[in-house]
Amino acid sequence: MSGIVVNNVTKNFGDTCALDGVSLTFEPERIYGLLGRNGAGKSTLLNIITNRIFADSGQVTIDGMPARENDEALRKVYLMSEKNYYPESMRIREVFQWTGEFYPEFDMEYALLLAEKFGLNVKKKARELSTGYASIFKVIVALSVNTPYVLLDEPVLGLDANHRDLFYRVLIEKYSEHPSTIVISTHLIEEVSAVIDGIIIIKNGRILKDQSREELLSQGYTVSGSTAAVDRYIQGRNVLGSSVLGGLKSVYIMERCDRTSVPDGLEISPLDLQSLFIQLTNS
Amino acid sequence: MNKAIKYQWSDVKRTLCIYYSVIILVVAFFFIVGMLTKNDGETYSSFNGLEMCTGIFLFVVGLNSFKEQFFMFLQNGISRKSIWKSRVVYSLSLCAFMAVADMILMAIGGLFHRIQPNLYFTSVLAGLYQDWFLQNNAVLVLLVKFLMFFAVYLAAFCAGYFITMLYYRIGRRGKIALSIGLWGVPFVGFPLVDDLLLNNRASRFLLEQMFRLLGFNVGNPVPAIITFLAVSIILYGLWYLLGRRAVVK
Repeated sequence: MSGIVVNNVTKNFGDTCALDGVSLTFEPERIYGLLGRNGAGKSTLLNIITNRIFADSGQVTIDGMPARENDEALRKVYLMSEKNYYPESMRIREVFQWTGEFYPEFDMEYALLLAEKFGLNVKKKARELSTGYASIFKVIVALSVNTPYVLLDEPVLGLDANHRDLFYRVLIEKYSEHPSTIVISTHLIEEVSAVIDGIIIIKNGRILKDQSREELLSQGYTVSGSTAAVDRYIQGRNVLGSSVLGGLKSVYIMERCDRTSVPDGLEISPLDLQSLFIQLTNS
Repeated sequence: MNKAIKYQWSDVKRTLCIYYSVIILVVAFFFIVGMLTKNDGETYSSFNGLEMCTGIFLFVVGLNSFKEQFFMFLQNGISRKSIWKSRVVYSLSLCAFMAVADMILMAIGGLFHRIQPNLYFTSVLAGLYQDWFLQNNAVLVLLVKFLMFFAVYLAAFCAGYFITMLYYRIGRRGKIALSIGLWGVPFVGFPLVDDLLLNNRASRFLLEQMFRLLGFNVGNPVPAIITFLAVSIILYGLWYLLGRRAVVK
């Protein structure tokens, strides 16, 4: 398996450039976070990978095969979208059955087990579900489909805290038992940061960062303290951004930390992904 | 592709059951009423136009089966090429099935006529080419009737599906233009222009061509079969062209 390779993909919607020369690789058996602000191009990218829309230029391959209009390649990937593309009048059990027809590796037993865990009534029709349960049923399908590549676009949309916690636990369990490539596109960065390995940050249709979580977060640090002390410390340093709360200032610095040069009164802590994301995508 | 065909059949079977249940109830009602009327040689009951109902039914089925199924197939990793191929196979099998079903119903209607001679169960299409059917042997008549029903049904289904695909693909202005043009051009614009400028020559020409294409001028159903099949093939091509760049909205 060689992964999903996106090569120089560009997509415009009228005058809006949704993706601008995007190139990246989703390697086999890793969990990625695809992070970006609203309208950054995340869903567009996922839709192009799964042949739902077409790129204006560039190519996507899945395990070396072109993804565009290729049944064999498309059978290896499943996209759980924000929107529902299943018939509104179809009962959830039927959705599971038909998914099993189109994806032979689909585990019906596991899907029903997850439905029970999440409290999803499989006799209900898709249109009868609340926002949260609409996400849950799609997530259950995605976790049961057993394709080598699973893309999740806003999987926790509308889920309460309990269900979100359950989702992450089930995801990790599933990944441990049957490793696959999972791409999670989400706005809930703090929650997802604990489960993801690779991070791709997309801004205005371009890739801003494409690194492992460890690499990305080790590239910088946070220094906190009184405003005056922090301001003195950050002179000549590569400052990404800052936040002030009362008299306390926190500054995000994108360079390796030399602890010997940190004066007393200042606290050094690792970068947190959400703060890093905000600073990167604000500038 | 096989799964896509299976899904399309699964999607239509409930509608088919309802349709034929209604038809059977109507035929049963017709039979009961016929049995209750006098068999005096002057009073009779006639049931006609089943194939017209089926044609309209298939047109509406075609009209309603693009968007939901297209989304379902894309969600499940089916390429547009495979969707098109499965659609072609499905439409051929559905129309063949309904042609056979309608012929069986008409054969049952023929049996009614034997039981109760004042009951007439006839076909509009067969009526149009009655002389030809009377002059040829039973096997050929059966085959040609089947092909005639099949060709008309297929063209009706293909037309409905084509219209719904067109509406999906074109923008808002196109939808408005099409909605107005579909009725305005043939029923208002064309007759006006033809009458005022061409002295109705265009209408006469079109009518002559239509008679020729449908075999009315020679009383032969074979040209009609060829015409409707040709229309279906053209529409298959248009489906492909419209479908290959269709995207989720």
